[in-house]
Amino acid sequence: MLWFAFLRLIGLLTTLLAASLVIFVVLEVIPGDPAEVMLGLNAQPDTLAALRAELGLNAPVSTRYVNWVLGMLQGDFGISYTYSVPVAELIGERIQISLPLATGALILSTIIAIPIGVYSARYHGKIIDTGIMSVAQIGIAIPNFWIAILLVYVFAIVLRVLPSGGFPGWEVSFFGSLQALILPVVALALPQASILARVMRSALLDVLHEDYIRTARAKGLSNKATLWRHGVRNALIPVLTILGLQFSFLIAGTVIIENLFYLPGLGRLIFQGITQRDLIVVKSSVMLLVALTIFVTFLVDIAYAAIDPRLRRRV
Amino acid sequence: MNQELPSYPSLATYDEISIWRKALHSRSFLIGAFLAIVILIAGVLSIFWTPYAIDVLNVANRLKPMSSEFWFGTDQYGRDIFSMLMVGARTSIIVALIAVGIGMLIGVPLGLLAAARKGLLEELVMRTNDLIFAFPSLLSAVLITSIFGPGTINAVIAIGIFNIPVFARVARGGALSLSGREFLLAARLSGKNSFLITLEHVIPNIANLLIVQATIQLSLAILSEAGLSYLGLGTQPPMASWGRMLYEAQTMVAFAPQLALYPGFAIIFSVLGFNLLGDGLRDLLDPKMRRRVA
Repeated sequence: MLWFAFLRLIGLLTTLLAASLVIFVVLEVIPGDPAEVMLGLNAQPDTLAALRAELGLNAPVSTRYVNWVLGMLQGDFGISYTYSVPVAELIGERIQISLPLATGALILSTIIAIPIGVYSARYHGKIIDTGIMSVAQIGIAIPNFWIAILLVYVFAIVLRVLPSGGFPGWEVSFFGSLQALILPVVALALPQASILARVMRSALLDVLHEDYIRTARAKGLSNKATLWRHGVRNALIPVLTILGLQFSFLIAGTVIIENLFYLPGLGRLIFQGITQRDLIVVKSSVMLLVALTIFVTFLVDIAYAAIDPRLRRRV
Repeated sequence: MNQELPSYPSLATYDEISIWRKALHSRSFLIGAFLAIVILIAGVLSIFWTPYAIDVLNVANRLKPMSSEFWFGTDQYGRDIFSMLMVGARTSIIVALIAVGIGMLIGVPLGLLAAARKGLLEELVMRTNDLIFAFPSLLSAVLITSIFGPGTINAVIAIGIFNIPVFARVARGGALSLSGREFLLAARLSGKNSFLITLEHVIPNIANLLIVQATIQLSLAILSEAGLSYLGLGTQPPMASWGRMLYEAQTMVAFAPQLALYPGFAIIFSVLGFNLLGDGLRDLLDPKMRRRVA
């Protein structure tokens, strides 16, 4: 197990390194000089040159890459071109919105999906199962930004019970901030819940055919106890994998949802950073999100191997 | 269920008639095929004919309700919504087909190569796959389209890139599951080299897997295209796109909520259509393969 974890860790580090290289190279070829964007069209050549030197844009590419990576390792993500504050500070601020948003959606979708999936599996083949699975099938096809628009219409415009967008800030109004996140969390969670419910159902159906389920029933355990203690517990393994994968979807989903609800989160920071050619912000925040995704995948792999020893041999 | 079928039956070994008979009884397949065909017809027809031109703004006709003149009404610029939905279908299908095509044309050979050659090359292909998977696809598509300029072509490329590892993985998995099978050994004994064996024996045997995967990828690609266009990074006006229509409807949602409904339904119908088609095909072509959502 330790050896498996060690090999996985090496894999994690190489993937991180390769990802940083890809992000750096992709953002190197981006057209537009950050110094020009910052100073506008009428900038004097000498001020431009001075700013380029200040931003370290004159150094060779390899030096800039190494400096960027070494800086990040020490928590220095560079200085934003447009906001003139450390990127680490910006990210720290924005993640206070994106993290609750993504985790909230993950938790909500799990809470919705698992009971529904279990229920559907229990009544496998009955009308209720077919009905639930048809709804889930449609749920998967719905784009989260469409749900978001409908939610805004119903809860912000018609019923006027929730804000249609914007974010007051946790310090200003904790309750108001929580309210501002409700619609975005629901919009992100519903399509994910549909996927998860289907996975939960099919995983449980697979497990229910196993011999140990029959044994549990034979030794006198009630249907319900068998279902939850022996069925659901074993079926959670594939569900865990999908949860790990969904994290990456949710992270990407925040880009659209944060734009739609005018939430100043990481996704919106990246989106604005691209349009303003604030490349250092984009580079560092994308790297952070990719690193998060890689790390979650790593955790899922480890958890998977810890649960199922057969997987340890396949590195 | 026929339990005697091999786990990866080729199209050729199937009794074609019984497949069609089963298809007529598969609800998923029928509904999926119906929705997909409707979208396809709307898209193709829009090349030759739409009720109104979509690049002509006519403010006098703005925000008209549903009528026999304008079937789904008009938007805030006076454009006919039904015509825009038709052109949007064309955009979605073209983007999705080419993006999935890119993924298949590059991914499948890479996966087959990895399975046939093993060793360092396989390691390289699979690690590159992992690397691409590490990037949340929509986030990267946003990056790519905003760097190389918003537009349909860049959206196709951005979505296509993330289809490559999917097909590489499916092709490799399928090919590996065939290794050691008698008909491959027989082909080897008859003197065929790896390339010929892959071409003549492996590909026909994993075709079903690839077709099913492609259907599912098509629906994902339609969703991605809608997302990119919604952010203003995909298809640009005057061409219509469902995502772009949703973006424009959003500003009007307080006064004309119906504008947000039509493009949303169009996206749902087409994604649902391809998903059901994929599910149906999977059951028809390979009854032993378990239903998987991911």
